[in-house]
Amino acid sequence: MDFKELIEKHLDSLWFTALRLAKNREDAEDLVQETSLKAYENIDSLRSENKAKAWLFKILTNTFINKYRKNKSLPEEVDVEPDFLDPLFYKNGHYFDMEKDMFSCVMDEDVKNAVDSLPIEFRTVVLLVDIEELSYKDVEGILKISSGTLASRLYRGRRLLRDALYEYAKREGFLKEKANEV
Amino acid sequence: MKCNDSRKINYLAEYPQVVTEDMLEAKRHASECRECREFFEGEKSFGALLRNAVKREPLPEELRNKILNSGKTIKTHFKPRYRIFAVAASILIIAIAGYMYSTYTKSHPILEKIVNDHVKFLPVPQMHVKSSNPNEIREWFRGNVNFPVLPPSISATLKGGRLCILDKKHFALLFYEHSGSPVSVFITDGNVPDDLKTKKEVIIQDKKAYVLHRRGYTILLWEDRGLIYSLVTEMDVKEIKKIF
Repeated sequence: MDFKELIEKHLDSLWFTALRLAKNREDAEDLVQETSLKAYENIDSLRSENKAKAWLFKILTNTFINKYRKNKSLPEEVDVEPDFLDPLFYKNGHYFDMEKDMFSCVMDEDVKNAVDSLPIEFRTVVLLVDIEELSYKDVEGILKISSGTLASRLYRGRRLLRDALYEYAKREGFLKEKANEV
Repeated sequence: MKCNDSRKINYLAEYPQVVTEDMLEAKRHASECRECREFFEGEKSFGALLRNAVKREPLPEELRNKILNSGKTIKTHFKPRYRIFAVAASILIIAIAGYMYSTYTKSHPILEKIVNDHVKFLPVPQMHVKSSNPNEIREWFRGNVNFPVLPPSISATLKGGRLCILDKKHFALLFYEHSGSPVSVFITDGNVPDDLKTKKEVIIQDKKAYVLHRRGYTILLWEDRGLIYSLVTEMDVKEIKKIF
């Protein structure tokens, strides 16, 4: 496969993730360009075409982390194991339909802002697992974290995102807390 | 088992390295507990809802052109050793599965060993016969095993085969490839041992096949005219069904 063909398939995904990671267009542009260049230079390390997406996201994430580390220090990587008791569709003791009550009433920009508001370690796993649909195994490899850490970050990241979206929906008057329906 | 223990174990159960008693118990709990089922349904639907809710802005055209027209139009050359590694890994897994079938008393622990060995075997596939012609493959095996080797007719490219002897038993290993994913089919004579007849079954070409999962690989076992077939691949069952 032509290198151009290989990277072109994933450029929009890389761009979306770069925007969410860098949170500004200028840095996102640099990130995507640098990722493409590194991919080109290291094409020999790609094991097979069907691993291309995970491979490109690994380059993107590493490039971002390296840049991020230069500018700021990364947050302390302390992952406290969650209790796994909080269902996503309950908030403040009340049941809500995620599709009808939350996702249908917030704007695309609100969702992006909510994703951007997540701390970097949670934002990364939500982007890679929930938006880019990479396998847990691939994400563990990309971020060099254990499955326990991934589970913990995904669990907490989803809830932080839910809470942010819940607040948007409530603030806009779309969401009224309802009695427990389950 | 408590709900939170079950959830903790099941949360990332995509590719368990080892299936433990706790995992089985956690799955049993989740299938019987309404609250846990709802909990996981919420987790599953969250990603899909999120993906639907965000619109992806395409990469700016100028930047796209800059990247794509940077004068570098090279062909990707995936290193043969990696391909070989992948094919051999699949073969080894199949061999392991076949070994399991042939050894009635050894089940899951042997399968784990096979998977481990499979990884070790990956770099050297050592095909004995290279051909995409099923007749040539059948002919080659005629002088090497005492059972007929009938390559299953699947929508994947047949690459070749090799003879494998595991625990003094002969196996025919056939290598296929489907959309970049290596698929190995391991054939030997006999019947699928009872302890490998899992509850998870699919019907392929009018035959009942048992589904097993080991370390991210899917293993499909079925019997046909006195032979045991085990297909090993990284694809999931839904994808595998498409090639039959």
